[in-house]
Order: sequence, then structure tokens, then C-alpha cells
Amino acid sequence: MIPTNEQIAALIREDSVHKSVYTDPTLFQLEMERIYGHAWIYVGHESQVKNAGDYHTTRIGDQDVVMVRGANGQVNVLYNRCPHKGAKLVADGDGSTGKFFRCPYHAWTFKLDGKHLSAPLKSGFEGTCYDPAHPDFSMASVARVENYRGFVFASQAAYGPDLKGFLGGVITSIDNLCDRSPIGEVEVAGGVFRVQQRSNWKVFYENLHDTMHARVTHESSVEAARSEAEAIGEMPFELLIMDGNGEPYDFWEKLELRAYHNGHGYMEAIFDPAAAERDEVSRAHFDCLSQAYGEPRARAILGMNRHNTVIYGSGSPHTVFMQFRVIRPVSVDRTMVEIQTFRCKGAPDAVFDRALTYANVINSPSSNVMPDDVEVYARCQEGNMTRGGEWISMHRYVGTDTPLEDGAVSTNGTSELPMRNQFAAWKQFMTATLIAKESTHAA
Amino acid sequence: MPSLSLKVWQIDRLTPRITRLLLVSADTRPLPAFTPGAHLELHVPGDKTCKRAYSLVNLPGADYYEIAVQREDDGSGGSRWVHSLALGDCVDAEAPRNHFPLSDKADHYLLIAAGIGITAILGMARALAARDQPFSLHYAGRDASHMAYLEESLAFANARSWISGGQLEKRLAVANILAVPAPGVHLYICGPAAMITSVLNSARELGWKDDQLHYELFAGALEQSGDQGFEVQLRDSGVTLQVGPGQSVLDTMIDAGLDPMFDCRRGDCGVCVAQVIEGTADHRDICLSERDRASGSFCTCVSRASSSLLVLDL
Repeated sequence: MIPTNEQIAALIREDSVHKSVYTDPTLFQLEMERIYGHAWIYVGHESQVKNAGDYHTTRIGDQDVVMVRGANGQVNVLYNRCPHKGAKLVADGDGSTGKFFRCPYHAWTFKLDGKHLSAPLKSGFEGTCYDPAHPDFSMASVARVENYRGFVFASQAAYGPDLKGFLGGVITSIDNLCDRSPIGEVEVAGGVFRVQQRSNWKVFYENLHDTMHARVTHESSVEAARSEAEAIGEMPFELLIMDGNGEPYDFWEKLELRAYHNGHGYMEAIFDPAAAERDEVSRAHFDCLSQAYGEPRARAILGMNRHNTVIYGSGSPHTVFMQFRVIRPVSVDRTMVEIQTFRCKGAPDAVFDRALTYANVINSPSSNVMPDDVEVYARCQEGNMTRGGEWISMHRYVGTDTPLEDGAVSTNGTSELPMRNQFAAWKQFMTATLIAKESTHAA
Repeated sequence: MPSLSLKVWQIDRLTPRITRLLLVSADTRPLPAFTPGAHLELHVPGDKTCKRAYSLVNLPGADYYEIAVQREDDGSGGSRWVHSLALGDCVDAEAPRNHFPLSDKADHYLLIAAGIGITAILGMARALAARDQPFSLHYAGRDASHMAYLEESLAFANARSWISGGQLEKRLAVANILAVPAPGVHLYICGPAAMITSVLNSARELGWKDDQLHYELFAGALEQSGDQGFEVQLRDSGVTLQVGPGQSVLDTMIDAGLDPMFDCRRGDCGVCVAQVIEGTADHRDICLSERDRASGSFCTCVSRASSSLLVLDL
């Protein structure tokens, strides 16, 4: 039974959500249609498909898609399905398909924009409705594709806001990541990590701006970093970034959390920007950007010191250390996270080395930090499967956030504003009010 | 309609499998002229007349044509028919044509022949020697007793043979021969397809430019297929190419440095399909339907032209 809009709306209160949003497979299926079927979702970075024929497979919600560089240089996003028997045309992963796709089943072939190219023994189609020009015989394109500074997003809805309108203020995080290159370009480099989490996808989004968990969940890694620093008599970068989670509560309370429409947002960085300029790597980076942009702009670029940004439905860019944690729902209690690291083209090698160090130490499956989070996500999933209660709290500083034209800003850095903002967007998508509005618009 | 009527004037057995024929005009008309590298197409009688091409070995200007034919017992019958000819027999032929001409821009000619490919190459060597133009000649084979014209070939100033006896290390040392590409040197290769491909690949790797490279596929393709060469004009690319009797349109495009789309290379898949704008297609694929063909579709990997010119939309 598909719940009514009223039933769905009742799951989201101003200060709490019903636990079924994490555990109900029917709601998960509806999310795939109503959120992932409409929102702009990050597919991949164009540097993952450098040459014509290069492809990268991924998922938009529950849909297998393939991002491929066309013969004209344009990046296309197609459903990974042969129109003949439905076979996925390329295996999961990255590669090159050459000048065209060829189905491994019956050798139907398709151009890099998905259009039907050929099929063997065509005399068998004489007198039938087979028509190479008809869309039924081509690979289907995802309805809309936009490329913002190399970041390729796709929307399965033919109508709705454009990418910029959808992203709102978080587009500045993508800008800042790119601007950290003296030529304004970044590329995915050094391979990617994949981590399967035993939890619902939304838990990760909430945790990205959850300032109250850091010194608790990560206590063991903070303590390990501190005792190691004491033993060696210094706090190198690797330990500094682990130590950051151990800041006292009053540090977190002073941070600013910014929320935008559609569930997006970012939080200020927990690392002191002035400290970042004191070290050798940051200084070299600053010099490099000063040459390209002049000192004031270089200072502004490196001074935009955001920690995690949330692009709801897509994942989380980290601009300072050049990561994108791409969050892919697999099922109601499984989530695949792909961690991409970016090289800022033209920036000193040490900047990329530091980004890789951050990926290894904080985000990788074998880091000392992320497994802390993954463990509590799984506990949330399992705990919510018990009959021990119905509601999840997000009461902290409710009613105190300052509304802005394009979202809201926290008055205290421990506010649960980000979670409330994400669920407001969730409710809007899931109750189809957005969809209804768009349909009217389209008509 | 054949343009020439010829008569067998002399027959010599050169090796156990190779026979040389001298052909003269069967009537009073003088023989049409030709240039080094040209070939003669003989009409092979049978239920369906087909044509077989053989390189002309002799110097231009004589009142006879010299060809040498290797008997291919597994072939389609052309060479067996040539070997059955007797003195005085009459044969029909087309006037000589040349798809393998000598460049007049070369300072030096590097000639490489393998097997029966010596016929075209020797024709060139004789002409160059007569004109006192510098050239070097490499003649590769497996067994000296099966290599026609070996003695004559080795009598030229810069000539050597590569007789492998089946041993890898004695085979043509391509990398050494091609090591130093110079702008004025032109390379001419004739022999089996595999040898030509291997020499061409090495040459390109070593920095030879495509306009320095000339080749003619021999025997296997030429003799067995019986196909005619034709000209293909690619409308969008703005180039015109010669498709040799043993070549496909697709291979010709690839050899010319174009980047066509293709997959199976055997007429199955339809990926290489082009549209015929002018000319008559001789379809050899098993992919296209009659409707496709009627609408001008054409598989460049296997299909040919029965007209002398084919214009494609590529």
C-alpha cells in the first residue's frame, strides 16, 4: 500500500521524525521515485571520462546509468540498458567502449549518444515495426544532464528547476573547490574508495553536519592522535585532522551552520584557516593562487574554510581537502559511499598529496575515523528495528534558527537545523507537492 | 568486352611452382604502353568469366608482356588455368593498369619483395636500373629453389636476399632495413598481406611518413578473389581513394589515416555502414536487408563496387 501524502507528511514533525523513514522498504521505493526520480543527482566528474568512448557507471537512486563521453566531446548520461532484451550494456565500473556500445548478448550497437546504430541480420526485421530511428530501439537518455565546471549532474524529470536553481547557495562550494586550482579546473585522481554502510542513506547526510557527535563518537581516534603527538613531540597534519574532532563543546557551538532549500547546506570548517596558512603546503598553494588570481582573491579562495557541504541526494563535497563523498542508496538499510579525491590542476603536488592523506586518514575504509561513524549508523539502523520507540529527536535549538530568503542559518553551531532542513525537503519531495507544482508548470 | 587479345609466345618454368609467360599481340594491333608497377588482367574462361591480375615484370616499351604466375592449388583456379596454357594459345585481357606506380619525387627507392611479390618489384628494379636511378632491393623467401628471378635480383648493385629456411632469425630484418627514414626515400613493398602489414607497421613506428610508403597486396588477395579495384570518393571527408582488388573500402580508409567506425569486419554487424551517393554497390554483407540496400546502405568492410567509381557519404 502506497501511503497517502497526509500519512507521509505526518512522519515529519518540526522537531522529530518517525523512524519508519529509515526502515520502511515502501518508503524507500517511494524515495527512489519521488526524490531520486526528480532531483538533480551528481553522476560523476567529467575527468572520469576524458576521451570519446570513456564511460563511468553509477546509479541515480535505483537506476543504473552510464556516463559516457560522446564523439562530439559532450558528456552523455544514459540508462545502462539495451532496448533489445534489456541487458546492461557495460559492466559496472570505468572503461572505454570505443566508438559505440555493443551489447554482449546479440551485438545490437548504439552510438555514444545512445542512438541505435545497427543490429545483425536485418532481413529478419523486414515487414516488422523495427525502426532504427524510433526511440524504442535506442538507449534512453536520462531526461536532463548539466555539467557545472566539470561536475556532471542529471535529473530524471524532464521539467523542474535547472541545476543552478536546484543547488542554490551550495554551488559556491563547487566553485571554491575548482577555484583552488590556478586554472579553475579539478580532476578525479588517485582512484576512489567504496564503502558499503549497513544503514539507511539519510543517516549519513544528517551526520555530516552533526557537531554534537564529534567528540563522543570519535573519542578513541582523538585520544589516539593526542597520545601519538605527545610521544613524538609534534602534531603533524595526519594527527591534526584526527585531533580536530576532539574540540570542546563551546568550539562547536560557535560554528555556523547554513541551510538551503532542497536539503542542502554546509558547515564552517573546524580547522583554523590561519593555521592552514602557516604550514608549508598551504603557503605554496597560496603563492601559486596569488600568481594566478592576485593576493586578495587567493586569500578569499583559501579563506573560504568550509567543512562538509551537503548536496542532498548526491553526497558531500569537502572543498578544503578536495573530496567528494558520493552517497548512493542501495536498499532501505544499505548505502554505498564512493569517496573521490580531486587534484587541483596546476596547484603544487603537495596539495594533492595532502588531499590523499585526508582521504586515507579520515574517509577511507581503513581510516581511524570513518569506521567510528559507520558503526553508529549501523547501530541506528538496528536500534530503529526494535519496538523500543517510534520517534527520532531533532529538538536541539528548534525554533531559534534565523530564516533567510534562500534557507536558514543557525544561531548555535550545535543546532539540529541541518536535519530539520533535510527532512523539510524530504517531505516536500515525498508528498509530491513539488511534482504537482512542476506538472502544472509544464502544462 | 576485353580490350586486348594476346597469344602465348614463350613459356618457362622458373621454379617448381612458378611459370613465366611472354605474351604478344594476337592481332596486328600494338600492345598498349604501361609503367613500372602495372598489372595485366587476364580473362579466365569458365561458366562465369572472371579476371585475374598479374604484375608486369618486363621493361616498358617491348612488344610483349612478361608475367610470372605461381600455381595455387588451393586457389580459385586462375593460376591452374595459366599453368595449363600452351604455346600459341590465345587469351583475352584488359589493357594494363597501374595501382602501384613509382613516385617521381624519390631520391632513392627501397624495394622489398616477398615470395611471388618479386614480379612487381623486379619490374620496378629493371626500370630503375635502366634509368640509372638509385635503389636497393630486398627479396625474402623461405627456400631459394622456390624464389623466381633470384639470380637476376641479386645481380643488382644494392640487392640482397633473406632466405629463412623457416628460421626466425634469418627472416627479413625489417627494423634494420627501415631504421633511418630519410625524406627522399620511398618504400615499395609487395608480397603476402601479413608481410606487408608488418613492414608498414614497423615503418610507421620508425617515423616513415605515409606518402613515402607504397605497397601492393599480392597473390592471395589478387589472384583468389578476382575482384576489381575501384575508386571510392568520400563526400564528407573530401578524399578519393583507390581500393585495390584485394582491399576493402574500410581497410583503404584506415590505411589512408581516416578513422572510420567498424566492428566485425566480416559483414555481420552493420557498424561500418555508409550511404551510397553514386555508383553501383556489389553487396557482400549478411547484415543489411533488401530495404536497407535499396535505401543506399553499404557495408564498407566487405562490400565492393561493380562501377569504377563509388561515392559514399562518409
